[in-house]
Amino acid sequence: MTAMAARTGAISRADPADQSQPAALLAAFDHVLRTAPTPPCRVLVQWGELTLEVSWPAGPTTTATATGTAAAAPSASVGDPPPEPGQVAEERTTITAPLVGAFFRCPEPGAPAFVDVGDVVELGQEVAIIEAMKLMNVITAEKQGRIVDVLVADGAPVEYGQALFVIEPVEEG
Amino acid sequence: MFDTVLIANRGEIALRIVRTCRDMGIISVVVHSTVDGDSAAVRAADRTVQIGPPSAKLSYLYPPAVIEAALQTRAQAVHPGYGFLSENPDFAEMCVDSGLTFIGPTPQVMANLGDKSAARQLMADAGLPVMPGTGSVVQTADDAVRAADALGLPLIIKAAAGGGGRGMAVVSKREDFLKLFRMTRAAAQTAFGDNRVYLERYLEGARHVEVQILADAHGNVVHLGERDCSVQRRHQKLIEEAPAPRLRPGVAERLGEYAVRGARAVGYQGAGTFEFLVRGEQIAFIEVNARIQVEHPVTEMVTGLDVVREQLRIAAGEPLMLTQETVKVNGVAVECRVNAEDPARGFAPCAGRLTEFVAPAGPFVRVDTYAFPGAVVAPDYDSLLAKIIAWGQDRDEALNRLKRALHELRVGGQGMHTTAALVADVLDAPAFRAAEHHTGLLDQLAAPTERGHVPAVAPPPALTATSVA
Repeated sequence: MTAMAARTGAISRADPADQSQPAALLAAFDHVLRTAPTPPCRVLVQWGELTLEVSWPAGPTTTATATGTAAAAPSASVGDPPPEPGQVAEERTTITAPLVGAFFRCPEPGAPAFVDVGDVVELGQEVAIIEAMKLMNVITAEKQGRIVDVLVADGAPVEYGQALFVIEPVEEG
Repeated sequence: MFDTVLIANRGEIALRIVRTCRDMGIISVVVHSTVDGDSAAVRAADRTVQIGPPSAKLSYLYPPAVIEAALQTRAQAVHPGYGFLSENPDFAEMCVDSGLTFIGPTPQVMANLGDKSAARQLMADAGLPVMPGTGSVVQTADDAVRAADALGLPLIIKAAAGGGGRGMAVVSKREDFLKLFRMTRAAAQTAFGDNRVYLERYLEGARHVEVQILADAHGNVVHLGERDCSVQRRHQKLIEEAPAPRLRPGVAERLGEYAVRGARAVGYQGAGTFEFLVRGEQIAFIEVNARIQVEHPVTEMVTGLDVVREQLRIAAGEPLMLTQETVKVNGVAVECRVNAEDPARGFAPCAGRLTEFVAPAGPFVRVDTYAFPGAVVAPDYDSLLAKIIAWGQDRDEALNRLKRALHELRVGGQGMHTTAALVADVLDAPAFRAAEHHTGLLDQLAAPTERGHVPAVAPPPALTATSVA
């Protein structure tokens, strides 16, 4: 029924006006490492969109908080189910359901799906609809990446936090 | 009868309801937040739906998620337990609008009883005794002072939207009145989003005695006897027993009669509790709890009736199978609540993973808990960890068995503390043993003891207490 997923602290979406991004990023990273109770098990740094992801092994609840000009609030993704071993590559992440409801892949019956396997989605791009209490809630990508799997059948009920899509990062040109 | 019931709650009461569903062959659906994904109730349920993040506002208190989960799982009815959405008439109405049966009174009756000032007036009109007080809410400080002077001291300031022991302040000195009036209003605004308060004379040295009632959709109302819940810490119950010990002759009968009359007067339906203060021959109505209560097991132990089963049957439209004559109270049952709180730190709630949990067992002992070794005590919810209930042919036997049971309890975990030693001390207190205690007992016991459970820092005001009645 449940499992503790690896907790991920993500620092991204820096203020584009900030000219000292790399330095601020490193400062934030340094702060995260110093304040975290345990060493991370994985670090991902990207320069283009300015992404810094630090993951810790699953364990007792503690969340490191990063502060600094380049730091957004770290997000703890406790609700995400753990990736199937060997099935989902380590850098892959999921788009999860933010509410309980029925999952729909198309804006309306008969219309083409919002996204399909192989599509590259941008941050904020519409990927699905979840209908709850007769209201259509548009689900958007929380980060840029390529859709590598669709985990839920069209029209199926979904729980809060249920993984809907698997996405992997794409190299910036 | 329903074939699927959704349980919109967590902790011990969700598990409690799952168990009766299983007894009755009803499919149980438990909704849960992300921190409760491996809870005892989730493990026991037939089906589960994760409805939101740890914050109750976005999960257990969020009606759209609960209702969507009920529709998804084709549940026909929603049991709200206690706390959370259980006394929310808007939620009850949303259930009805979505084609679901809300297991409780109608939204209108809930709304009438939910306003404590209005409920007091309704019951006074029905002929129930109430303490002298302001007939309605007092708005301005000037009005409040005038009303307070007319009523006399001591008096109690109560939030109209309060209940379950929350949103109250007792005033015994005139110079404290305005400060407490403003504090209660501000705290009520924060806790309930409603700062309306009313005033009542406070009955000092009284016992808290309440009556469990059952009312069906066909006009039948019975009561299942009374419970004494006088052992309280800052208006939160710690020990409850049935029947109430050492009541003056005729008082229990009058309480039962008042409760049934009050239930009929408002068209109550379902299980509910009428709360009273009792001092000698004097009785004063306090409030109605329009839901199942934490302490319902003591009534179950002495009557042999399953209150949750009765709730389900009533909600399904079935007539009560019992009459007042067939309700028999046998022996004495006493419950103590064990909270995950640190008495040495002002009863601050403790959170974390339980590394050890051994529940008491043995003859005539019942334990209602969600705890097990490895279970998570989440910081997001109330601190009730376990209810230990013991039955005896008389009060002494029940209390001795409860002491034995409490002695067997083992709770361990990093930073984990409980109120077990505090309730054990109460069980030994001569005033409690002799049933001469009243709601002020805990204050009288507040002298320092070797166990060191006297608050090292000032306890939080009653308005911030997290438990529910």
